[in-house]
Amino acid sequence: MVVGPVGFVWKQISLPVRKGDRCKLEPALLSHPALFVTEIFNERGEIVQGDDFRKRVITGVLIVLVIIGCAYLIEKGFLAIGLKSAKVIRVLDENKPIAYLDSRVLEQIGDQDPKGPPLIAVLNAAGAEEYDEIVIRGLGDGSVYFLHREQLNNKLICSLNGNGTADLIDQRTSQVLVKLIKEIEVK
Amino acid sequence: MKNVNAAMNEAQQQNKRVLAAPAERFIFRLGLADVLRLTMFGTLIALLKDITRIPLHLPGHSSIFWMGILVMGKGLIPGFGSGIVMGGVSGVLAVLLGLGKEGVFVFFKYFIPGLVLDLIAPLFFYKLEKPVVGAICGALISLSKMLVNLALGLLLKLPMVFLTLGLGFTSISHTLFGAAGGAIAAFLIKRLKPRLTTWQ
Repeated sequence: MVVGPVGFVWKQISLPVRKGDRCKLEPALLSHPALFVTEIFNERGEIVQGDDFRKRVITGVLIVLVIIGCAYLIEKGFLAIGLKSAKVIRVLDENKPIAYLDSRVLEQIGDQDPKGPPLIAVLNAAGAEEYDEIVIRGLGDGSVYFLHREQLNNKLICSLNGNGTADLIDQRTSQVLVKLIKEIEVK
Repeated sequence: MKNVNAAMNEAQQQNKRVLAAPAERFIFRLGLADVLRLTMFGTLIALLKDITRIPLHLPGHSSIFWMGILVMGKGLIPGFGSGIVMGGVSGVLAVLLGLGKEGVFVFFKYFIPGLVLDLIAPLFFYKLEKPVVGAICGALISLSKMLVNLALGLLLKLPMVFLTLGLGFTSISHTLFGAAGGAIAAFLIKRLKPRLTTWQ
């Protein structure tokens, strides 16, 4: 084993220490009290971590990539199941998905209001900014509801059902405009 | 005069003996001084998380300093247990300061990255002063934090607003910020280590 001060190999001493240990040596190295084991050599004087180290770095990068890949797969799985049952609402801007919202996110947007959040707040939270027309599609009866930006008001509510789905309701008339919202598109 | 010289020599010898003495183990393989320093790093993580408000609006952006401090602490004080101490201290502080929506379970969000760092650092021979190792370790512990976040969100049925952007994008964001924090920490370790000659 070789022990060296940080930054450069200063002295080689055989000691029963492990990599990463901090040790103090007397008397020659007392001027450098903070010493870390920097390299480990085998009996033939070869560094035992050269190729091995490179392999581990590559493995580390691969593990990161695998985790990201798994995250995408889990996302796809969750979305496929959620969109099928309308438990996840897809928000589109010119046919491009900009957000996916589930009931827990809708609760958060509506400040824990049991009725649910206003449609205008949902669109703001999803990041929809420049649009003139809104199309809301439902899963229940396949209904589609169109409205213009001027028609938006705080009385149009994404009413939360107990099972994680939401309906579009006009609070003034208590009429259900879209049952089980699955998609909101802005144009 | 002789007496003074003799006393000085005696004092110098005693000083050398003290310096040469092995550090006493306090917890794991760490001395008390190291544990106190790690406590300082852990406190820094919780306080920075509470105080700083970076208006980036990207999931995992706090990893840049959170994972940076963890990697720096581990790099400066190697050996098993340093990550656990930093994670544990920041976790307890996070619970006491009421950070997050998870209640007492927020502890795991802070503790697990420290534990994971303790497990992966030996695999890279504790070479955290190398930017590539710092970045990989930072990215991995940042991803571990994201997974704990996800698990707690599912278990406690919390609103996972960060998932609005998608889990895939969230994982990339966590990776980039964690890797950036780890790489910055690697440079700091390289700079600080040679200067910390009285670090025992």
